[in-house]
Amino acid sequence: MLDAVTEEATAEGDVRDSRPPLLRRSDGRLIAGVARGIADHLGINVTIVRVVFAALGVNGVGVLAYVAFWILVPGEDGATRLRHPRDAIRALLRSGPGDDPHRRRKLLAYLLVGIAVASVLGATGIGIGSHTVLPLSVACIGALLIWWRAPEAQRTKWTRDARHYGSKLTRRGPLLVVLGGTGLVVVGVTSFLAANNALAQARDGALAIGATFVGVLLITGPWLFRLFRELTAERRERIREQERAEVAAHVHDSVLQTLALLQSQASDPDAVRRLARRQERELRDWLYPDAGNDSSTMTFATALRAAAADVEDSHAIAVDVVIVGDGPLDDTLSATVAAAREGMVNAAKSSGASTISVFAEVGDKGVEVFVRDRGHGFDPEKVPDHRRGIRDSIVGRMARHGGKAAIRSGPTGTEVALTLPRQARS
Amino acid sequence: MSVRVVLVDDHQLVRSGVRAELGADVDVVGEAGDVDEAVRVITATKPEVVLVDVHLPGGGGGEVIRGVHAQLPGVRFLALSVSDAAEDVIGVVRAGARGYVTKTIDGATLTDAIVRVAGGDAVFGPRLAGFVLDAFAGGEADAADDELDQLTPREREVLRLIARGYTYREAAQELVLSDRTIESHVSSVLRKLQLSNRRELARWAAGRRIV
Repeated sequence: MLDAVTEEATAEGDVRDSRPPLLRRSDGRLIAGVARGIADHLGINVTIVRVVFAALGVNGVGVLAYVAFWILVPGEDGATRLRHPRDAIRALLRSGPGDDPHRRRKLLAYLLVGIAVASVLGATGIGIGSHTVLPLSVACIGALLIWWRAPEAQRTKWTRDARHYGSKLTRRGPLLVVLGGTGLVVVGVTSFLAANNALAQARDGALAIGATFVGVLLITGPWLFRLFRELTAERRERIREQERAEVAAHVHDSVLQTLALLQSQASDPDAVRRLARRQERELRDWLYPDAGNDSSTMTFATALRAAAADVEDSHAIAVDVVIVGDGPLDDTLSATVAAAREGMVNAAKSSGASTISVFAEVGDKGVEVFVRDRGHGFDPEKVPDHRRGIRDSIVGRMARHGGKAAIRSGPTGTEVALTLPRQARS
Repeated sequence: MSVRVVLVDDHQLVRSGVRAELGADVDVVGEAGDVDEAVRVITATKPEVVLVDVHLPGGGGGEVIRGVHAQLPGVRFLALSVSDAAEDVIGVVRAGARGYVTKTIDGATLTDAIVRVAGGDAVFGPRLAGFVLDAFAGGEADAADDELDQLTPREREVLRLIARGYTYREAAQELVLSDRTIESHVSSVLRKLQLSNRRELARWAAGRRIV
């Protein structure tokens, strides 16, 4: 049975992008599951991703990229979190439950790959020396500090403050951290420039701009990224909140009001029943809006239902309506609805029954409507002339539109049968 | 002898209301509020009839029927619903319920329906009859349809009377048939409703709601 439940849930679930989301994995990881997560997301072999990281690691870029992914990419449940530089060291030194079984050996192998690439690059002179890596690393650590040093709630507050006041520098504590981080970034970028001056005088200008840009990006990048993510989450939350408020408002305006009325009129069964029926109908209309329910496309079914609702409300009686088929409302169908309504009113007024059954069928042969009650009945022949309801409003009306009405009444109730042949409608 | 019944509804209020309405012919031997509990209670008490709400936490009435049917094929189900999408009601009927009644049904009628379901009959109220008529509409002309995919003219007549609010007995009188014949027509319609692969059935149910 559990299987069946799961199947149903899967079948009902949206067909989403087949690509798995970018998540740090909690199993089979070497350090923090970054490479495995990327590999899963891109659909490529994890070894390729790891070799790329190792090769880039030579000049620090790989390491920085790895750390950046570690911070920015959300992890699966149980994935290693990087809240503090300590976490990184711990993740490297200790093994956890989700680790790859050959973790040490593999880490060593990738380290060797990195060193090999480094020495090849060093030998050929393509590589970028440590004078580049070091300043860049300082800058990045500065940027990361800005994020690490603040607790999660504080980060959320920054982004919120930033949204509201256009500034996150509203508090002294964070201010110091941010200043410190920014300082580190500036120092890093400056020394990077200094180290490269001799190397490329001509490119200084471009390099300066580029490096400054990178520096700014390093400071604001993660923040912007998070801000974006949180904005999306908040927008979703707001929509949900609006929907909830709408439901609450509706329940308040309708159901709660009716319940209050019911309590105040508890001694009057008729009123209670009428209120309950009306509330039930309104709630259903609201919960399950019918396709043909808007007034612009009035159909036979909606008209008949409206007539029944009207009788329910004005005569404190339950009208159960069953309609098979439907059609656009024209003159003859309107007349049929009016005749049926008259039948319901008669039943409500004089039958003594508590429920009226209405069945209508719109078919190939025409339209038929049956209005039935289980009241005490009457003799159609003995209805006094001045009671013109049945003669004019039901029988006469149907006859004028090419249909007919038959009334059967007995001790077990009354049934009004209206028939409108198809040819009468064309 | 009274019919042993289990009530399955997630609202305690509804369960006690229904329990209070049921007549002496019915003996409530258990109650449950969700699918898992229902399966446990039903397997433990082995009732004759289960009154099951269409909407339940844990998968709905259909899940209860599917969960119990393999072990206890003799247990019969009657769907109880207040205001539901046709596809839900039809889902429960197609899962194996022997009929569908609304929660506004009065106690005597409900007791009668339970006794009838216990006896192996199908219980069709006006709404379900109207639904079947609508879902199977327009099939008479198509002779290529499977026997399961269309109603006979007689079945159609019976359903129309039920939709008009007639009881089985009144319908029998109207058509000058025996009660048993009406029962067998209704059971045959129920079988078609449960087994037919008719395309319109799914489309109709998805597009409309029984309210």
